[in-house]
Amino acid sequence: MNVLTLLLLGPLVSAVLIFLIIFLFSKVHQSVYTFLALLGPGVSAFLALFVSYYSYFEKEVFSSHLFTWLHIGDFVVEAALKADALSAFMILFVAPVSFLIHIYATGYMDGQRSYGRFFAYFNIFVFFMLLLVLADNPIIMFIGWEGVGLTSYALIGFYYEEIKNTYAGNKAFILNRIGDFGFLSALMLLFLEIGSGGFDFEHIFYNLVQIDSGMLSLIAFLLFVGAMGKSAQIPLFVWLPDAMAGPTPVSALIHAATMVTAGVYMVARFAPLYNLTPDISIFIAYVGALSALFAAVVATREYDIKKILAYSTMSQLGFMFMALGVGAYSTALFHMFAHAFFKALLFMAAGAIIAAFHHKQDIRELRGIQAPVLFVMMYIATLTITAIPPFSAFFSKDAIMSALYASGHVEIFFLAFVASLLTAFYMFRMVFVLFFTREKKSAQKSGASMIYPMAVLTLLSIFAGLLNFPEIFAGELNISHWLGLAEQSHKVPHATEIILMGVNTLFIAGVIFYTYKKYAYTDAIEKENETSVIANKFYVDAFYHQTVVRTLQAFSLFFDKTISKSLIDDSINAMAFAYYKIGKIFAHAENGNVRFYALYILVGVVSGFIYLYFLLGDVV
Amino acid sequence: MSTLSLMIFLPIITAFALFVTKIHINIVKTLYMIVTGIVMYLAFSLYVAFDANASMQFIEYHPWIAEYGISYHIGVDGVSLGIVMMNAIIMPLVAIALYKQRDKRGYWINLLFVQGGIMGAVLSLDLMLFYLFWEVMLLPIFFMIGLFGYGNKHFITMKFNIYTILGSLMMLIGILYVAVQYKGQFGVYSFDLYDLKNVKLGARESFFAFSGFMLAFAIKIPIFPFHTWLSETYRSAPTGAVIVMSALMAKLGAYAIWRFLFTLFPETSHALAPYFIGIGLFGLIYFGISAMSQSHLKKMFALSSASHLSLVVVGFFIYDVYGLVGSSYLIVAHAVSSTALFLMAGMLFERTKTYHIDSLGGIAAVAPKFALFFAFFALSIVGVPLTAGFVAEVLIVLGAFEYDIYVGFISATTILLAMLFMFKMISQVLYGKVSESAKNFQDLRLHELIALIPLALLILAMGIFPNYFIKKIEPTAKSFAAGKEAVYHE
Amino acid sequence: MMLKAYMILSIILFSIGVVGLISRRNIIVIYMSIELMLNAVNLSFVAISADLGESSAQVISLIIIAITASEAALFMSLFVILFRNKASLDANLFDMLGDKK
Repeated sequence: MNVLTLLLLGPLVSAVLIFLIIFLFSKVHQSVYTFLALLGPGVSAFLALFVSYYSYFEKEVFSSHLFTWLHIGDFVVEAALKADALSAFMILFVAPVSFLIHIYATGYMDGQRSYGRFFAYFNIFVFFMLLLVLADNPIIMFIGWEGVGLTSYALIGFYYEEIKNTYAGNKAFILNRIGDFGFLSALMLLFLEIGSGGFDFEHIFYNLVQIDSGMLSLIAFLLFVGAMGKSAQIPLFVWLPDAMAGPTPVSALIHAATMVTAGVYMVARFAPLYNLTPDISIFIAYVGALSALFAAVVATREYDIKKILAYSTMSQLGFMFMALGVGAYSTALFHMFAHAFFKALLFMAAGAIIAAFHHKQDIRELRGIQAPVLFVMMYIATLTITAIPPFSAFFSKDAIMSALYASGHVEIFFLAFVASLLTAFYMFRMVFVLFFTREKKSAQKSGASMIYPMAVLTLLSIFAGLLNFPEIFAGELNISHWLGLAEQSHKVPHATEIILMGVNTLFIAGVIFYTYKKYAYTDAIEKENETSVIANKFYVDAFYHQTVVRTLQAFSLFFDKTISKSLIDDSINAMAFAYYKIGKIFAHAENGNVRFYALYILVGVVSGFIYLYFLLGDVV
Repeated sequence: MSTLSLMIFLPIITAFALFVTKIHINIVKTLYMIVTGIVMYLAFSLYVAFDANASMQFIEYHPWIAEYGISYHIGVDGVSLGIVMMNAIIMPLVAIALYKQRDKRGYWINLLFVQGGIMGAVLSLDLMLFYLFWEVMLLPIFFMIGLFGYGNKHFITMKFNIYTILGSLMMLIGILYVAVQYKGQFGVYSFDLYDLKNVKLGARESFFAFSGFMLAFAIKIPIFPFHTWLSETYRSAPTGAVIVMSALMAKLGAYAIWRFLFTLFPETSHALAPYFIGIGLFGLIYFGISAMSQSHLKKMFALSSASHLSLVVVGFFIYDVYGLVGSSYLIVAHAVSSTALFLMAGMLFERTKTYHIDSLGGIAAVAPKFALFFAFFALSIVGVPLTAGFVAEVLIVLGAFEYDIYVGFISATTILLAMLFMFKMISQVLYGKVSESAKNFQDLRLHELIALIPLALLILAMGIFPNYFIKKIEPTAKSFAAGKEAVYHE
Repeated sequence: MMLKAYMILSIILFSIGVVGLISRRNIIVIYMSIELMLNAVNLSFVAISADLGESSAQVISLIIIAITASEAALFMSLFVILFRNKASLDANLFDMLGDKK
């Protein structure tokens, strides 16, 4: 069997088996589910490493043709997989991180009702995510794209006893689908322009030059609308904080490490397209910059530990989009790579804290928690996300900063700079509030199945930077060379780059010091004002609710009650009623009395004769 | 007797025989199962024997009223094959699901009768024959609502019937007009579709004849603004009748547009296509948004059906291969999904005695299997990937974009509209605190599972391996599109 | 000339019959009016037949007379049944066919 096919189908088979077991047997020992749940992602993770290894060192391109999905006229969609460098790079972190989080989840979900159902969904998610990154043509990619949204919906609303959780899932899926609307439209337009020459990625990019620039910009824009929805960028971001209603492993895997980065992957996948549309690229950079800044600002007044991390995810995704916008594709992907590790780690640590502390999520209530292992891990992850050398994100974020600087868009660079300072502020605010307190609270110990995956991720957070060691430190930018994307190179002199790095790091250190002064061992967090504009997330949610949701409901009532019922149906009924009324008038004549009938006959016959008399009068 | 004729007349004759004899209800049910089983077997053998490279096949021709050129002329092609298959598959499954609930002979006799009627209407290639079956399939529904319905059923069934018959009579006028014109031009009467398409009509005459046909189909589908009978009728109709109406009869209306209007009046259809695409798109959005504020489960599903059927109409009027294949596929996909959903709505009502979304809740905690299937079928209506609806919607949207970019954008909203109400409904019915009415909710029983699992598998198979099914439709679509090229690009 | 006189008599008899049918309430009188109308028509048949020298109309009139005779028997039994029902022969009481108010 083909490697890629096996890699893809592993989690699916696991999921189907779990579903069947749930369905057929009522009482099954939890270990059966655990075994099945880990089997599929385990196989996938192993094969992913294998594929990436050969892709990296041997430049091998794996491919697999499953079947012809659709063939109508020119519209040929092959269900085919292909692991070129970009896809191999994606599965290099998607599959192993999925596997690690699955292990973590076996500890986190231990003993919960619906243990099996959780892993069935979780495995299906991995299947769709792998389909998304391995697909060889955009339609199959779109199926994976929608599929991850669907499983994300199911998992956000996993604790369905609380109906608000399922509403959060609905919101996530609806906003994702608004993005998908753009994505689908873009694909349809793309097909109609150049699809007749084959609709896999290779043919598409080869034929791109045939499209005129206006249409190309439209397609690029619509594709990015899809990315906005999936990667929670302005204006479609409101679902991400709410999505934290799901179990924490879900937040770690779907809403931090993998699914939300699909938008970044998609834009990078369509790099040849975006290289031809510089206007849209810059637009992407602006959206990314505003999202990064917005999320960072909101996160400074957030108290829910998972929502802080959600906003930080949105902010980091903004950084990636900035890099994509200025054409530094591999830099963005590298940041995504590092982000997958440290953000998953942050969520898992947060999850461990939450689980150890009676499922409370407010950092003010969690203050003073005693968990040294978790503290160390979270601290390392926080140092990573704030881009302190020598952790991995230092290299990736610095590469983004210098690419932004070199691109000449100083305003974007400035926004990114402010956002990165705010990142340091809100992340350390969280850490200082949680751990740097006078009074201490003891907590339950986390299980081994939760700690070990986190330990692996901690190491990866620290050392992942080595993979793309920049030239300035005598590195070779291995990932960039491996991916070989059509980058727009913005080179800065080494001296400038060093100055940038130094200034950045100094400022960040300053912010950390300020934060320490403000939050560590003080009660500043208790005094913060919860009614400010920032604490209310700039009223974006309320605004959407008032404008979109209310309007739709008003329209719904108007259509259903006023137009359908009052206008159309009542007028139809009125016609029938008028008919009935007229019939009533005639019914008076028909009183059942034979003599009247005879009279009517007489009148009829007489008038007939009179008519005939006038008609035939001449003849007689 | 050929397969097709057997499929039409076996149910009808059995229904008549059951009607005149008074036998025990259990024997009626058994006979129903046997007959629909045979029809299903015939349909499957038809599907296997169906040549994927040809358009119209299995043609059967017997003169009937030769003096007026009325003949018994039937045949099947890729588009009608889908409806034939649905008709054959759904009927026995409905019976399995409702086996224990319905103990009236009339219920089953009417269902058998309607199966034959629909089969005849789908396969007819003679306009008189078509008209006959078109009216025949209406009667059982009239009786089913009137006898076994809920609420204000007598008024509703009368309204439904008068409304539909008004449309049918307009169609009859159209048929007679076209036939008389044929007599004038060719010297003999004929009601055969392939003869009548040679009639040359002036633009005005053609428009009026077209409108007569269109009114009948528009009411049946229904498209805006002829939809007002819909939600009340669905609400008061018993489960069997609702399924027949939403899964089969409504689809037949859309199918008839393609089969008869596009064949008889190609120029007029083409000239009016932009208007009907406009009405279809408007209906798509209008019904989708209307459904948002419904609190009655069946009314919501009714409007959801109407929304999807508007999309089917758009797909047909787009006039190209993608639109046609997509619409044909959506007909089948939506028939399966809506059958399952209405069946489950019926089960919900049987257990909780309510259709009101507000008074339901928390079923997932009590009945996980029910929740799983219910959510699955609701999502298949929404058109999530790996379900049949997704494939169909992608194709229609593709056709729409080819037709016009703005039409494309509006029709692409279909992936948003159904979600707006379906997801809220799923949340309120299945999730949240266990409501009073759902406390003693019994999970799916074996016979219900037997009815629902094939439908679920079919949806998945059609979503994962669409090419296998579409191969059968494609030649029909292509020959149609080629004919259209010849007509419009002279 | 004679024909015209016969026809005028026939018309007068027929009109009397019609007026009787419409204005009288007693069913027996109504029956008699109907008979009168029939016989008026009969008279015109016979007169026209004699005038034209053609006998077929006379045959028909004889048949009509035979039928009227049998009708008389039928009507008599009807009167009895109607009278048993309402103890009256007022035509206005027998309006069961009409719209019940």
